[in-house]
Amino acid sequence: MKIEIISPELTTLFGDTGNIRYLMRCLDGAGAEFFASHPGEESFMTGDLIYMGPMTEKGQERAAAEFLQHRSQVKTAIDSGRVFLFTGNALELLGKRIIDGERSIECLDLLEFEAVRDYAHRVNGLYIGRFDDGTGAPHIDVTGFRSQFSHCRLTGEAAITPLFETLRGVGLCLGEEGEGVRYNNFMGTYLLGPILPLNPAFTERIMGMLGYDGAAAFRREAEEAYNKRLDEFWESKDPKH
Amino acid sequence: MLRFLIASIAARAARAALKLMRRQASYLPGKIALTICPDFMARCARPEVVIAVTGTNGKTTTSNLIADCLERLGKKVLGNRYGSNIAAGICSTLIDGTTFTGKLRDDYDAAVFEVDERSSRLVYPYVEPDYLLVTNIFRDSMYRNAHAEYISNFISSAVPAKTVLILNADDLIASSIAPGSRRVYFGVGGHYRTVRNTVCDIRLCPECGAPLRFTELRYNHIGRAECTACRFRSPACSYTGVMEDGGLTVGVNKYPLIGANLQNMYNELSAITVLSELGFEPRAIAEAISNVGIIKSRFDELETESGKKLHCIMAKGLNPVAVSGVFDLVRSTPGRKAVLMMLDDVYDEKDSSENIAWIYDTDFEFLAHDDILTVAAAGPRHLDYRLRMLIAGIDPHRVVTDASPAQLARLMDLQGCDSVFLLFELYRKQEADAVRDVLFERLKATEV
Repeated sequence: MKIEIISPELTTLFGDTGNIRYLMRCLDGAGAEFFASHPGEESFMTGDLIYMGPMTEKGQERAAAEFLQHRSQVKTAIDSGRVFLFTGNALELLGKRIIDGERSIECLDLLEFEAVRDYAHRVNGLYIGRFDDGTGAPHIDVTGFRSQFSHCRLTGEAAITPLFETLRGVGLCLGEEGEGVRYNNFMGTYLLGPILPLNPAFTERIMGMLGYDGAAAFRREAEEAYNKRLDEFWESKDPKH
Repeated sequence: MLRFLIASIAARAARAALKLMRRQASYLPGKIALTICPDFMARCARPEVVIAVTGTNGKTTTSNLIADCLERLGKKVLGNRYGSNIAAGICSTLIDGTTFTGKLRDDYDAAVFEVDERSSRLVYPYVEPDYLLVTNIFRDSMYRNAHAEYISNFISSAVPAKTVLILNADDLIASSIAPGSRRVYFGVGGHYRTVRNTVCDIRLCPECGAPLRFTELRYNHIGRAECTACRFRSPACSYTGVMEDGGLTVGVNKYPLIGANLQNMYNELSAITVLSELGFEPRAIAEAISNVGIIKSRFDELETESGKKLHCIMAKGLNPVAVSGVFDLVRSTPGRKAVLMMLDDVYDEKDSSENIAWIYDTDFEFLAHDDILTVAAAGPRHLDYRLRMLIAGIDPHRVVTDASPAQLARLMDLQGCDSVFLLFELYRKQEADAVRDVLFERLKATEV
């Protein structure tokens, strides 16, 4: 099993390297290989799970420019059913563009949305969403945090399939139901946490997509922390900070 | 002018009311003044020299050090040493230091303001510091500060043209602030142990995007670096400090060293740079420094009769760099140790649930050490800390957590420990004092 981490030197924000750290623990003994890749390298888009984390705005623009040169490769990997997890603003690379004031940064245009940056209003808050992977397996309630300058807005007629059904908090687009993006096995979410150690059941579901049926690492401890947080999120006075 | 006077009177009335009610809220008079008169601070008289100190870590220590030294050098100093570092807090300080018409109340020679990074745009255009010292720029609270690049740009956008920047040459983010402004660089010379942290906020050249090569990496992104592709590199220093013979040598001048760790060395060196640029002689600066120390509330040490120590250290919660630095100190301290940390955000606890993502940027792996016998975490987020410690590879038998710090202080195993570290968040000082007392009694009891 190969876990690909795209541009790790760019995507180190907000504790999300903890997703990979936790995954390493989860897959310890499963013979998983973790490797870094960059657009243009031979290993790019070859992982069984392809992960990318959140970046600074400048880093994101750099990533967008690099991805654009390999658009068809990315599209082929998604269309072929490879599993992707893009967290934070990494998911914005799949949209049409990122708007920053008067500037427009071209992105992959694989999905009909665009991202808009607003430095004057940072969106912070708690989130609870429901994950249903469509296989008939029980749904999972997922918790996470939002902290971002950007939000998405739809650009076309085609609907975006969200990753999570919003139960509490801000979705992908302001005012819209649903958080994140599901496109084939591409999963993109703005949720920080990191999302995997905070949601052991969700982590197990992703590992299942990779053909590994083991339990998430430190399952009991992770679940106790998850249950406490879920209660707090429901009880909190205002999910937005 | 009328608006200013109304603001001044209203602010002072608020100050008097707060005193009567014996309430703190040091920022409130300033907030009232700025609401009525947004350019209030620009209309106040200012001392001859205004020094602002900002940065992610070390700004309180450094601004207090500068103010203390200036006073020992015979200068009268206006500052927000005991007040808030946001715009309203600085405005309150100016209100306290001026008459209601805005004239200076005393013959202040200098003002030293600690300024929160996010207050840059609300302070510098109005206060216009002569010198702005930036200690360092790291990632901090993601909700407030987003990330280091954002804060760097934010500060850069607010620096007035006349301000001379005093910058840490060993910090490529801080040293790149406001590239068009006049600047003086300080840095630490010599070789030190490299600490490889999870967080390194700059890995690529800001000019061309190629990878950076650190020729000397101290911790996080602090050190000397050069681009692997273009000519970009860490700037040269006007003031280089080296730890020598138990002191700090800058050029040919020797100064007493207040704190032996690298972070405090940078703080002291930056203060020496500011004082030198103000024209004070090295001998006078050294004399002033010899009479000051680090704020006791931030770092305290108790010792038993047999030499066992309890170290009480304030560690900024939500700040992975600061906490990782303390964890490195713990693992580097000789002997067998126990650690109790109480780092949760008490304000988030009341109405919400703290965003704990920062603990995954924090190097808990440093505590997976054979001679760290117990690692304890107390507070509402203790279950998250427990998971994080297990992921970090700390022996599960050494991990203990509880919601109650008092409970943990009573129960955690201290047998065999030569020292105990108590790490506490800024707003938990009172609670930490009670925990400290319990731990110290228990540490003494292990000697029997």
